[in-house]
Amino acid sequence: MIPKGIENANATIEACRLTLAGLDSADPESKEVLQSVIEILEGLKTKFFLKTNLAIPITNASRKDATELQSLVEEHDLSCFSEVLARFRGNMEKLLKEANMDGLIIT
Amino acid sequence: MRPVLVTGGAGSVGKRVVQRLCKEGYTVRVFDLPNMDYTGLEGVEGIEVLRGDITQLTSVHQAVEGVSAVIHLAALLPPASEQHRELTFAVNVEGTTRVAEALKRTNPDAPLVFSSSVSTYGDTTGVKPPVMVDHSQQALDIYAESKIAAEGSLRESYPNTVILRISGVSVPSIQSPPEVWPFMADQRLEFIHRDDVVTALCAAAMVGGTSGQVFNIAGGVTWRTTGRAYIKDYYDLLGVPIEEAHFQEHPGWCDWYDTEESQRVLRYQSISYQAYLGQLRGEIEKMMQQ
Repeated sequence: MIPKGIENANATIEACRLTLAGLDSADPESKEVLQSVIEILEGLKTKFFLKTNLAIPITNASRKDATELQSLVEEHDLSCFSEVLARFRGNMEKLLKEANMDGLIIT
Repeated sequence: MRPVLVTGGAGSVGKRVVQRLCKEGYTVRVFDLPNMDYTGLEGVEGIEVLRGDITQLTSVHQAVEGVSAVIHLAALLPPASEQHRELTFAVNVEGTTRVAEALKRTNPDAPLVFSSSVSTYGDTTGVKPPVMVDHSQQALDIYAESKIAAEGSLRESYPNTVILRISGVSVPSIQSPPEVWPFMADQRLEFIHRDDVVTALCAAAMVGGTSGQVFNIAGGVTWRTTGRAYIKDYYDLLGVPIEEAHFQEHPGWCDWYDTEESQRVLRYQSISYQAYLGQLRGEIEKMMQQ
């Protein structure tokens, strides 16, 4: 069974791709953010953290943000797009920090 | 009051040793590399920070000046030790000898507590447990080799030494596992809680009458388990199937250790394995709530 954290990461990547496809080319900054989120998540998918229960809350939040961005683009309602994107970035930064856990101490 | 010197005092275990000694009313001199993080040590009453390098004679002379005891933790640990053999010997062996020689010249009455490792016993899977302190030493890696050499050097140069052969240290926080666990799935394993190691190190410096002795330092009977069972407990807490864990196919240095004498003298085993798991569970719950 695929761990929930990885399932969430995959869904987030998919939502980012669909959002990117629907975004106006006149918004290069948002496109750049979404592109880098996809790259970061692809890299994190091999991390142990993503397989643990600890990853569930933060990846749930990121998935929700990404899905919301996708809906906004599909509905052509970009009034709060920047706000959701900022929150999404914040959650991604938190995920990145949590996923890079320290090494084990063994003497 | 003459200070207790803690070499490697800004490291993970070192900082806790310094804070414990301070709490118990001792003044402490912390000696560590300039690039270490001295947060929680600098500016604290009773703590003197000395930045230096154990490979430098002048630094070491300054460090041992007027101390009442030394807890010698400074060392290069795995994985770094396995990549830099020369540096490992320069720090772990020559650095230790330098500390002992400086002490011998200036204050030979000061006890020296040396943090060695149970990894110096090597592969003990073929012997009946527990592993005793008089078991032969056979290094499996550069780190253990350096600790065996340092123990030998201390025996010759500084009789007022207490050697603690410390087992794997379990820290109650969530950490990434290595790609391959450094023991076999069915291998005996007895780690120890970090705070109990701190207690043992401090006690060895303070109780007196331990000069020339060698102690195994491990968690005690509640910590006796196998590689697979230990990792399963950890993975279960995190919701990760044990099948994700990869174990070495040849023996590592882990085993069960005879700690009857060390516990009798140092009284350090206070955190059971179950209590450690409880602490980990608490950490996880805290992280899940954030």
